[in-house]
Amino acid sequence: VTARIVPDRAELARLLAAERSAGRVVVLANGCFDLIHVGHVRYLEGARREGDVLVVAINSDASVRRNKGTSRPLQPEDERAEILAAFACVDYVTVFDEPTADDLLRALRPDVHAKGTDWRAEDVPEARTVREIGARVAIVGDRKTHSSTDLARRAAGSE
Amino acid sequence: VRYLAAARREGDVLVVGLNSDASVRRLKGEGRPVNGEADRAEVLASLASVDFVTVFDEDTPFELIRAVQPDVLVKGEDWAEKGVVGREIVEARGGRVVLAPLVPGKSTTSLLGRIRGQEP
Repeated sequence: VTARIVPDRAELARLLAAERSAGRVVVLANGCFDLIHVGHVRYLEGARREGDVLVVAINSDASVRRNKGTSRPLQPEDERAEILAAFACVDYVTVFDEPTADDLLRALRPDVHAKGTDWRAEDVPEARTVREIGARVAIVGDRKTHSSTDLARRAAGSE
Repeated sequence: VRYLAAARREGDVLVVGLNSDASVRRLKGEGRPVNGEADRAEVLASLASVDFVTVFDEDTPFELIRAVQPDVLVKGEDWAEKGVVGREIVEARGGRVVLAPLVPGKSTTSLLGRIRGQEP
């Protein structure tokens, strides 16, 4: 059984409302997930342990290009979504196009917003929105010794 | 991911035999693997379709297949002409070999080619 890919935000909000009314704790994780590596996997596993249902929001191709430059993403959003949906710890996958996860948090109203260890809870850009919706921030995953940018650089250099 | 999901649909328990770092280097050259075997194993183990992951160091999985004695042996369809190593072991027990479809243009080698092509 793989996760559901739900591009429609209103539909996903309805599905998550149903999960919450069944007593399940909903966790939101977000990121580009371009070239999945073990650092991503540990972040996702850590996020899932914060609750019962893990939603992963991936940056759209346009937003990855804006954040990381025109040479990224290396994998288009539909492929990134399909790969994420194949992980046992992931329940729902969606795509977001905004620069931050604020709108997503307001629409989906998770109980926990999971961020990687490159963040400190007090510096998370969406901290205010997280408080506003009554959620909490969880810092999860291992210390960042892996990144897709380094991986791509290593791949490019090791010819 | 599609290859593994297709493999899992052929049975109930999916074992993935992973080439060791040394065997990847022998088969694909010094620039590979990009990810070490421990990291590759951990990523695979976290997929919903995968039940067991093990590492083999030989040039072919023949010894692994002999040890595991699977009911089904799944390989990518690109192995059709090359001949599937271990076929005789599986078929001797009444098992079967399945060739899973490949996703065109989605090999790690072609992905690396794209990364390397766009770097200055």
